[in-house]
Amino acid sequence: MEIVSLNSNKLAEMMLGGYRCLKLNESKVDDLNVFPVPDGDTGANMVKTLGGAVNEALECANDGCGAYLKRFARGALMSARGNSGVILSQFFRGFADAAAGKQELCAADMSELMKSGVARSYSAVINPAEGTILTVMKDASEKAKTCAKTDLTALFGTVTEEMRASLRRTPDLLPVLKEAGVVDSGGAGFLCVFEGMCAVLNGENPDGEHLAKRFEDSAAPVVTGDDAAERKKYGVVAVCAGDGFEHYFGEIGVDALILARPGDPPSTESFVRAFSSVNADCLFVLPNDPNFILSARQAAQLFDRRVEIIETKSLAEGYSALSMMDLNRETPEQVIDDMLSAVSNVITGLVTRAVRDTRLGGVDVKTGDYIGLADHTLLCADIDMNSAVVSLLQKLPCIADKEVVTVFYGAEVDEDSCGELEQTLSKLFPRMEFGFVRGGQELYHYIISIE
Amino acid sequence: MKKFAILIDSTGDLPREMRERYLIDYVAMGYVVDGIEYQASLDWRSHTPREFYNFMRDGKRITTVQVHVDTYTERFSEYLSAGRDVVYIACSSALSGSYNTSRVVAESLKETYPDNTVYCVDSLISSLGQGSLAIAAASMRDEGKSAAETAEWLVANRLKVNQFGTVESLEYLRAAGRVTATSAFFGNLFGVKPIVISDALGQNFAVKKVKGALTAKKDMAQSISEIVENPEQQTLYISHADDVAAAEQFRDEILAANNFKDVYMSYIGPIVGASVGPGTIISFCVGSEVTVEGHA
Repeated sequence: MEIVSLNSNKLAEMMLGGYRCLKLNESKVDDLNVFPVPDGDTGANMVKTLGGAVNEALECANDGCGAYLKRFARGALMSARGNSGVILSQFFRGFADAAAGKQELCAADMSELMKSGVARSYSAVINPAEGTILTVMKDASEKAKTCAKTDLTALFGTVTEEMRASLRRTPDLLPVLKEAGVVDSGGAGFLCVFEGMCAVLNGENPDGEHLAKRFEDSAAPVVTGDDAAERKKYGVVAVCAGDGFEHYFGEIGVDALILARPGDPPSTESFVRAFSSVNADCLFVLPNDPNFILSARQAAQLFDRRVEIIETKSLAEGYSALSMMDLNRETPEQVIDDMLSAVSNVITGLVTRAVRDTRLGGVDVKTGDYIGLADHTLLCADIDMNSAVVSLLQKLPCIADKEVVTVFYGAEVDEDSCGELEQTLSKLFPRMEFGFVRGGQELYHYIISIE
Repeated sequence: MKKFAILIDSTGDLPREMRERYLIDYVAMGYVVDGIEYQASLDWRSHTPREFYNFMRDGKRITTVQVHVDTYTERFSEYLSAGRDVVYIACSSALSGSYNTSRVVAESLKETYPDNTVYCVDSLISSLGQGSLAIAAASMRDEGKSAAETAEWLVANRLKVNQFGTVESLEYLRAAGRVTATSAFFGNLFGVKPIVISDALGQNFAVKKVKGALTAKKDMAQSISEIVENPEQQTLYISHADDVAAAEQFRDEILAANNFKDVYMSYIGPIVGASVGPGTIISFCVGSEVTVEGHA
């Protein structure tokens, strides 16, 4: 059935339909929020905004479209919540501007209303971003302009279809949406309003099952292309030991890990294999042990891309280098500088058990004692594990210049024992920051990065 | 001609004593704890700073709500109906949608109050940076400047307010979607302190990272020396998220390198606090114009 004009009664019914369809899909719209802040409860905010407008304009339903929309826009503004609510209210304010003085609306009027609504919406936002509700509004309005129809049902049908398509395109325009794999929440809410209006115009139920289903399709998760095949500028390869280190190195951004176990040093081949698995122009490699540097170098010579070896001599140095790494730097030299300057500031402390009696650097060691080493120099021995850590730090000549101590506890150390140690150390060295991190390494009870 | 009113919002972080001294009012945002919305009072009416930041220390998620349209309408109307113009200095539009909303409301009030105007200024900063702009506006008002002149001055000078701050963890800012930083800044790395500035677009931008809280303070004090203009004639502002000792240490480091006229220290209010997290310290001073634009 062709409809060539709308009176304010019908318009009011359609607006109510828009509200009901939005309400029906409210939580689905909320779920599209990229950030979990109430500022971004888009669905709820738009429902409040539109609900206020529908209620406010109720008594004007017989007063003609111009008068009805004027009240409607005022109601929308007064109940506007959040960004999407404010933008929605301005869209209808544009409607009201363009409908001023009109009793009824034809298809050409509707197209003008949308154009005016888009202009108002854009001007309400200081830095309009594409890929948002604004884009969905604009695309729909432009579609309305080009489709010279006199039938309002056809116009609404075409416009709503364009909105669905535009909504699907939002992740291509706004990277944050693509990253989260969603379409824009404000745009989705706006589509609901038009789906509902459209349904009423066609004599359908605006909160029927089919609209919920259709909306689900429109707002379905967006599958993003696999970027893994793209070659990166920089890649990072590191040797590590222990599940804790494995976890942290991965989190910091190491692309390929080479696992080293005591007595099983990584081969040149394992380095080459790791290098090959990373698709980057330039690789930074952290051997994290003086004995692995040579293998890393050999592997680099066998490899046809640029490889830079950061000669880290312990996991503590490796962790420190990685923590200060910034792969967004312009040149590889800058990346290397950042890491080397971090490493130059690290003293590596190690606590492990002596495997034989000895006397070294004035320290008497009995088999089974816990011994403390700083940068491979034996500083202390103690029958108690935690006491060995304390005396290691106390005997470090430059401890007064150090500020941050990260203690990686090994596979055999329990958390209670760490808690006690942390308390003792904080009391003894009140100026310093102590952090305890599970390294999960074998053999060394504690690996300590002192910076 | 009646003197114009100066308003900030809940991110301006000026406590009552300062608002009373400079005759500055504010419009309230809201925060939500356990599903209950509270007014974001700069006088901590609902929770003390300790209670508030302990929620966060205990892992409770606090979210924020921008200024409602009716709140703006009501508060602006109070002054307009008394025949006064309003200069509203808003939280950076890169951090809150409030500024956008305020412009729409100000526009809509023109019809009812044709003789007076609300000038909405996007401060492009928050916390005491925003607050210090309001204090500067108050002294212009004392000199007899009009609302229009003051608003124009604010827009011309807002980027001269330089922010240097550091947070305990960037995760709060990230969860709130209120920081621009490359991946190099994320990952929970013990001892790594990001230095966060407010960039030319009004975004929080992580510019560099350093090792250790003391090193971070010294580094920021050094940065201040490089950009500050006429420190002997200006107040240094420091705000903190419930860590007085760290703020005092920060102050001492800055004063050791810079000769400020005086220092004003205060708590980071609930809205900025909910985004930055406990332990955050931020300094603000006037210096060379900020031109950096951050990219993620």
